[in-house]
Amino acid sequence: MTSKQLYWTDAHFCGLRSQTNVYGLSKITSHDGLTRLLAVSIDGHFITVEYQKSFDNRLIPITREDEFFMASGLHGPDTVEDLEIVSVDMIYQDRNKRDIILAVTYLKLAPPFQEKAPSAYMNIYFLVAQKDSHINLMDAGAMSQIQPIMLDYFPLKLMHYQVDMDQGQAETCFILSGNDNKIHVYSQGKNMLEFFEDQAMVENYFPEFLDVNGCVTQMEFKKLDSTRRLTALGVQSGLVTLFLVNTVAHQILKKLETDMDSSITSIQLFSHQVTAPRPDFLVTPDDSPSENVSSEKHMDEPVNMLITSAIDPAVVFCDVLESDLTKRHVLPLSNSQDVVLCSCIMDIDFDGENEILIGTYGQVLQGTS
Amino acid sequence: MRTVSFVDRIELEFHGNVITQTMVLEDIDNDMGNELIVGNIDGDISIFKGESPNAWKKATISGMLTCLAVGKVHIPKKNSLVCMTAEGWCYMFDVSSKTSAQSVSAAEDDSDSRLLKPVFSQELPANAKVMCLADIDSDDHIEMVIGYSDRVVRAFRWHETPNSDTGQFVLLQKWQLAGQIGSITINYNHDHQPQLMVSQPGATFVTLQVKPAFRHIKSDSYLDRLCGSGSNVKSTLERSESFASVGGRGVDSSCGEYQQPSSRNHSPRGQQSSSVRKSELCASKSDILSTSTTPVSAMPVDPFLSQGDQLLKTYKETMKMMERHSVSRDKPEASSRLCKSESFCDQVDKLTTEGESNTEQDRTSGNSGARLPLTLKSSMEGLESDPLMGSGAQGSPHRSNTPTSSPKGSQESILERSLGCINNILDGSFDDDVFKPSIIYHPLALMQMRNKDTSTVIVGGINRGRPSQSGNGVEEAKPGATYYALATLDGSLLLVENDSILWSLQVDNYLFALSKLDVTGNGKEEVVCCSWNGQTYIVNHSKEIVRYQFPDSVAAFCAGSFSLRDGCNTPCFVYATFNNRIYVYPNIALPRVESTNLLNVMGRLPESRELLGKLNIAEDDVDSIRRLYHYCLYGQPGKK
Repeated sequence: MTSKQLYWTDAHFCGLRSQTNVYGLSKITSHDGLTRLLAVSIDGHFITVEYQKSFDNRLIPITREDEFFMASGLHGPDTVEDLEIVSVDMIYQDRNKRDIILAVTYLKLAPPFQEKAPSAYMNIYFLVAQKDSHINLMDAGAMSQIQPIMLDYFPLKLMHYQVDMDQGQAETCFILSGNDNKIHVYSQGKNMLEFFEDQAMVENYFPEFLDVNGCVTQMEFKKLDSTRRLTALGVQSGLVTLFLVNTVAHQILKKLETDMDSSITSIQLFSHQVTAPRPDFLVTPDDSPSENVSSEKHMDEPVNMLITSAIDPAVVFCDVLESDLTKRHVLPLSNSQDVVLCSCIMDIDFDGENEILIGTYGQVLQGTS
Repeated sequence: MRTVSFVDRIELEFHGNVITQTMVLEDIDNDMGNELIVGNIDGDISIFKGESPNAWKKATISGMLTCLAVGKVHIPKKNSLVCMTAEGWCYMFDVSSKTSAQSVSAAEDDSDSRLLKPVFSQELPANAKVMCLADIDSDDHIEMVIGYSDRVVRAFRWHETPNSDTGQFVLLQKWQLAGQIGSITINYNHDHQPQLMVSQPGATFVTLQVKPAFRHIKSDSYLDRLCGSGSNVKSTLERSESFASVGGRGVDSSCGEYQQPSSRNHSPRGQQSSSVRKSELCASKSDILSTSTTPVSAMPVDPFLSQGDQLLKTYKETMKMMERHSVSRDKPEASSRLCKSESFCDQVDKLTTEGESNTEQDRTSGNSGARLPLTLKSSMEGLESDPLMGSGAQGSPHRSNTPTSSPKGSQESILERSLGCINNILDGSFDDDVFKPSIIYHPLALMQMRNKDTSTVIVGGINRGRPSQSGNGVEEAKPGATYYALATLDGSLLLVENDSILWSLQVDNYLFALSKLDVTGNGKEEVVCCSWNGQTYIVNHSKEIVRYQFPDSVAAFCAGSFSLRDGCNTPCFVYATFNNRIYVYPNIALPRVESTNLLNVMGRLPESRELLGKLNIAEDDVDSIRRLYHYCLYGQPGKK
């Protein structure tokens, strides 16, 4: 615990009209450092939060709320009551970070008297960037192209990952876990805009996805270096599996498991220290070797894993690679405030070391260093 | 618009209807820490201190409590609580700091020690609506300025009774306004002289001038002098007085108030019986003055209520006449002043001799002195005698003879409205130093207002920034002018300096409560405005806005300093809701009002520019600067 008293004030605040779930928030950062947030409530209200600059160079927080995404869906004029948003994610289409691709998974609920199971969909929106790169997400969404994908399973966590292809290129794909105990990968076809479910990619690049036994509620990836990747998968039963994968040979090097007794709400893979590269204009000839050493050191830094689950307190496993999940630390007081729903790793006090923030259903945010 | 959410709050239980005028954050027990004083319209008053959810002190007064204020009224350097009821009773409470320590530590259920008893009460004119305790004339004494729902503003001063440790409020001056009064405030001009401002409908306000002659009344002797120096001019003068700017009614009362102690001779007026009864009541209740006052609230009764139409007619005629006379515009005014001043003394005479009580006497009019040649007066005569010819010719003489008790309200209002209008016209055209108008109307942006009758509140004395944080502000000498802000119920918010609008803001909420509070701690006071549905706006001097949505309907709102722990005041918001709860938000301090980022903040520092220059980074090289800051903040593990 830090002895320093941190005093936070709201930079901006906006209330949600109805509740959201643990998958309902997405952020995207543009090439010029502008971060936009998209929050989606279960009943289909999209809320974007972004900053715009006024003519006199003041920052103006802009919050916009709309439900147009659903109204423009393919499957007829849906009313909001029929929908339940599950998860949302945003990626940039290209390296220039101009065009945004937004993916939303949702359930379409049949009217109660029909007694039919809901049907699941994923809509992918291609937001076309305008000349003005600061276009509001809402405006872009209204003009977007839509690709609806029908899902034969109920979607859960939706995220994206940049896969290093064998040909040396990188491709960003959406990864979606489902209640069919599988993890699905959606990638863009070559020279195509549309996304399709890419089973070949799962087999070629994500060998760990073939080894899932349970309904995956959370997953997390961390690239250790150019050849190794850590993948943590948490399932509904509370089992967390940690894979060390060779990303060149596409083999599982190591598989570790731990059981948490309740559904996994979030997983974080992080190192203790923050890596911030020294800008090149600060590098002087005489200390550049040491700089290299320190960057090497960053690579070797032990990786810790934070697991929060519905009932149990938050747990941190230190140095998961070397200690094989034996160094287990329970975060003090982390079960004092209802269910821990989310977590974040951040250096909040600028000491170069990461702190753990956990958010609880009791609306209390706790920080631990 | 930037929005914030305040989470920490203290929930207080307080039953009854609370209005904004009866909720104040002030240091009531003189321990340097502010308390929250809340009253409901049933007369229950509770004082909340610290973090405790229970009332620290309680009091109950009879009548409909409409105003609460705290100020150093009757004891120097000691704050007292002053309460006004709609019926006109003024109660004063002293809360000693000695008992405060005791009752905080012990005796939680000791209800006796918590119950406050008024140390003083006095009957003043009824229908008090808003109150302001401030030193309006720079004499280091706090005056009590009360705005009434009948569009009158009266200023009272605490007057110590010789050879006694008590005293009473005596009327200093009275102003009759044309529009409903929203709130009264004090603002400071460039010379740091206080200006009394009263908001008027349609985001306008008037400044009320305090008569210099009354700035230095220290004893009765001056009054005695005044009373003794009657003049011969009678009827014309008293009529003219009623016409003049500050004119109005209730003068009889004020006059009587001053008058009684010096001249025993009670007015043999029609309602004397009632007056005696009332004064007895006063005496028994307040145990201050055996000579206690004529009935202050006993309105003179008019026997000619049916003359309203005639009055209107005559008023119109007057207006025509005014136009004719406009060649020598200042003359009427001047003479009216003169008339007033003389007629005051005159009036006093009359009160003691004839018992004439219906005259529209202005007791505050002693400023100009009888310096004008009579020609001016005569030039005014025709003009001024007209509007009140009805009352003057018929009312007054008949009055003493036939004291019927017909209510005077409607006629009075017509009369007063006409007076107010004329006053404004006269005042606007008048700039002589000697005959300074007593009411100056400031239309501001009236022409742009959506609704010209919308009720308006004003707050003045908004500190525009000093190195140190501002305190109460009245007693410490602050150089320079202050801003003032106006808010209307239809959602306009203005910040004004010296009649020029610095910014204006239009929102879609009913703004009803306006405060000033230094939320950021930088010495500049922000304007805090609250609407009925809980939307609260914090706006700084450069029109940057922070919003907070209080999650309930708001009955009353105030922003100020509150002491959670001993003597340590923190800015806070207080919301009274309609379901018997009051919420205190003690943790509302913000580092800044505007939205900003690190690049902007650093860019404003001269040192950072210097350092960037040393690193050969151009100021517009945002990418490099961003990387540099990122490295400085995160790139040095273990730097602490």
